[in-house]
Amino acid sequence: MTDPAKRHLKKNSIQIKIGTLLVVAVILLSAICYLLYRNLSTIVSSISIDQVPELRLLSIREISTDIEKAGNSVRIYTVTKDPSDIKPYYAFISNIDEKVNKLRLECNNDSVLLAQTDAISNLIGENIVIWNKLLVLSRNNNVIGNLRRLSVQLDSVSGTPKKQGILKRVFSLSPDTSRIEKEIAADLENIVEQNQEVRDELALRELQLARNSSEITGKFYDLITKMENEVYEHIRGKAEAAAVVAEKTYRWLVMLSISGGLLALLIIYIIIRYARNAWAYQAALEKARDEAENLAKTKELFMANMSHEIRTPVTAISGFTEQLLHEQLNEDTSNSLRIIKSSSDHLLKIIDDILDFSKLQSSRIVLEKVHFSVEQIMADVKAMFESQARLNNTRLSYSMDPGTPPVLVGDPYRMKQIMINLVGNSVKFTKDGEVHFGVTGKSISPGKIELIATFADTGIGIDESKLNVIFEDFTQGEMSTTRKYGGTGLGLSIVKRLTELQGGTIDISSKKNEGTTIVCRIPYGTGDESKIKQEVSKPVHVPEEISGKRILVVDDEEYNRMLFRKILDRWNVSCRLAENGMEALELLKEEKFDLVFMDMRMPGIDGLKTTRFIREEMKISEPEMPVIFISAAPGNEERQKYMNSGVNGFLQKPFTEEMLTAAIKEVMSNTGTRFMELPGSTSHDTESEGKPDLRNLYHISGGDNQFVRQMLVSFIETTGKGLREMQEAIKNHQLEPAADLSHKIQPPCRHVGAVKLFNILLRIEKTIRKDDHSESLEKLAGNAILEFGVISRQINDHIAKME
Amino acid sequence: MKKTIKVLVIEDNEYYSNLLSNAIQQSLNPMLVRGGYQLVLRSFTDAKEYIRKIKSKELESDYTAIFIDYYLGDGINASHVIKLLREQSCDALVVLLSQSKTVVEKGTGIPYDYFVVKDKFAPALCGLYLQQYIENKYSVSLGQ
Repeated sequence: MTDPAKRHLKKNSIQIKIGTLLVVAVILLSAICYLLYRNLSTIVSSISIDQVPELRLLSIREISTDIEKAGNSVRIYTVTKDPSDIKPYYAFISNIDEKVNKLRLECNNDSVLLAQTDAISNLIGENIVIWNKLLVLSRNNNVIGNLRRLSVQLDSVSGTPKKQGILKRVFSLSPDTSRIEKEIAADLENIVEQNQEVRDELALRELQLARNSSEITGKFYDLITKMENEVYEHIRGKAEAAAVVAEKTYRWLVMLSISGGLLALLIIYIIIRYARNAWAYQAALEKARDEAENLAKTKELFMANMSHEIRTPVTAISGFTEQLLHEQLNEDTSNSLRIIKSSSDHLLKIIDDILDFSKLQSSRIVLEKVHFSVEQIMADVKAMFESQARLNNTRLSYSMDPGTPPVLVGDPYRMKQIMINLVGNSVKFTKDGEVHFGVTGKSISPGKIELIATFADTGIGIDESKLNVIFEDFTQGEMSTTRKYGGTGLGLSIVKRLTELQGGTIDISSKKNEGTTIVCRIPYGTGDESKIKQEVSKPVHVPEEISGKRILVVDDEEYNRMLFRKILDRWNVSCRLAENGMEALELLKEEKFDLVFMDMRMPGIDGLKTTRFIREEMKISEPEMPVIFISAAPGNEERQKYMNSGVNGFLQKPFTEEMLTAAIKEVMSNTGTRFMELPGSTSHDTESEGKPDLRNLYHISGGDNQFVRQMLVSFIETTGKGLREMQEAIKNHQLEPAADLSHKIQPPCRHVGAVKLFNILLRIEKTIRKDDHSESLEKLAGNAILEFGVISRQINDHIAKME
Repeated sequence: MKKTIKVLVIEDNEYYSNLLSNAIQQSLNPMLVRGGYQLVLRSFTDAKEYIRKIKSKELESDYTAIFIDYYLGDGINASHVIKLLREQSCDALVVLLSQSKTVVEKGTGIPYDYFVVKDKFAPALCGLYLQQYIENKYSVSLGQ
């Protein structure tokens, strides 16, 4: 199994694992919720059932109160005989059955309680019977009535004031009333008797009532206690049941929580492992991307380097062949040379293709925006392929629609490149046929047109099935095409990229063995004829001003140097060659040149650094000595950078004589150089004798006056000391140390522009080393001391001024 | 950690030695300002003393670049110093300076990378060579 497939499976398996675990977790959570709900509702329902016993207790209390109220009602009535006092008793009788039945219903489940309720009910029944008897007794009790009647009789007999008590009145009766007395006495006896009976009866009933009441109360308490016990038992049972349920719930909860926790840990572990893997993959991907980018960069650099490496010798072959063709040769040799020339040019074209392709791939091509004649380009392209077309027996023609603006604004080089590629292809693949290319301008907005360039041929055509891949890199219609016709297979791909780079589109239609038509549509601005850059006229015309001038060529490639020498010699121009920047600088110190051709890429000090040094340190101005860079065409930004560093023009490798003259002419017009007459002196040294020249010291200091001052003080001290020691050594005939001392103090003298002193010191050293006795060393040393006096005075003055 | 650029200047003339040191410092300034590098500059005017110190291992010989005058007085020349340093496997850039080209034209018998005539451009040239060497060595650009 391939790695990506494995990775895909692995990814899937992780998704399945996590999915499954999540489902299990959800199920577990639901189970916990359900269990909690069920057990909670069990506990809640047990609480609601426990409210019933409380209701029964309330009923008992109510009945008990009612009984008490009824008893009181009866007692009060027996005394007052007021009917309103007996009403609560009757209300009790009418309700008691209902209340007892309610209690019985509430005790429905419990036989013991029911028996108790029945017993209470019976006792209440007994009470009612007694209370009724009491009521009857109280009604029959006429003691008071009899006493009243007797009192009336007494009043009627004696006329005793009413206010006296009945017995007093009875015993205060006169003897006349003896008959009546007897009757009354008899009545009294009756009354007393009756009263005694009723009292006995009442006492009996009261006793019975009291007993019943006590018994009822006992039964009530008994019932209540039983009920309370029952309620207590009931609650205890419930509590126990709840405890069991709760314990069960806890157990379940703990089990589920533990498994839930474990599950969560597992999920977290899997996710972390997955994330870590993902990070590792990402890091690997990033690394791979970086590597790919590096590889791409390396490839690009390699391509550029290789192109440069291949281009250089090919340029040499082409250039030297061109030079040889200038000579008088027999026809055979000329033909051979022409073949060499065209072959090497062809090879260069292929290298350009590769280079362009790599530039296009990295989008590094910068488009120009200049005014150009599209017809000129078409004429050039036609001229380029005319001979090849003739060889193929093919008619090559071009046309321009009358409505097309003659001058356009855009990148003519890219337009030309497209045309060269497409016309080149058509000519290559068309035998005994016709190749025609033409342009039509279609206005899209004021000042803007779409240029429709059509390239039609009657060549071998392309199989329809290949049309969609024909613009891909390294593609040709058939593998055999490459073998038969050659080429890199990059041409169409480059054309497509170039077209798109300019905001255009490209279409192709073709039929096998019938021909191909390619249409490019590219937007351009309309231009102005006067702004067209005039190309250098065809026959190489050596600017007259060049002849007899001195040119320095700096290039590490021997071929190039030789080619320059060959061309420049023929032009009668004196030239010096330098292999690298160091050599160039050394030559420049000693000789004066009118123009420098400088290779940009050189080992050691490169062209840019050398040029900067020439401008900044050697102070050779641009009009005095322009510098032309030999390089691949630089982008606009680079170009500006070079210009700012003192470069005045560019000569693209590989170059022809024509390009060389063009570059020289361009630089001359840009810098305003009118190559000056060679001055007699070949040295740039402007050191004047006798007077110090501190310009270089100031330049080096970078504006640090303190540094200049220190250096000058140091110069006077070390040189003075050195001179004295030298003089002493000469006096003592220690010539070797004297020469060393002289040698040692020369450079500072030269640096501060003390030329006269420097020359004296040089003569002293030479005199000693060459054992030359033509000059007196003492005299020379004396002169040196004198000259140093002059110089040091001037320098001291300068230091004083600085302060 | 900062990369250390260790430069040795051996020039018996103090004035010229200062001039060289200044040029070296200036040429590396863009790099030092940018950070990541530090310059350690050692200059000696007494070659005899320097040779003694190097022989006794009082000084280390791990220089990045050496700027050395050919004639160092007391019958000592640059080849003595360079040979000694090469023996101690010092692979520094060697820039040889002298009053005239005759020294190199005669052949010095010592390996050096650049020869600079002590004219008024010499300090700037030394700076330029060092700059290019450092750019190549550390793949940095010191161009403005």
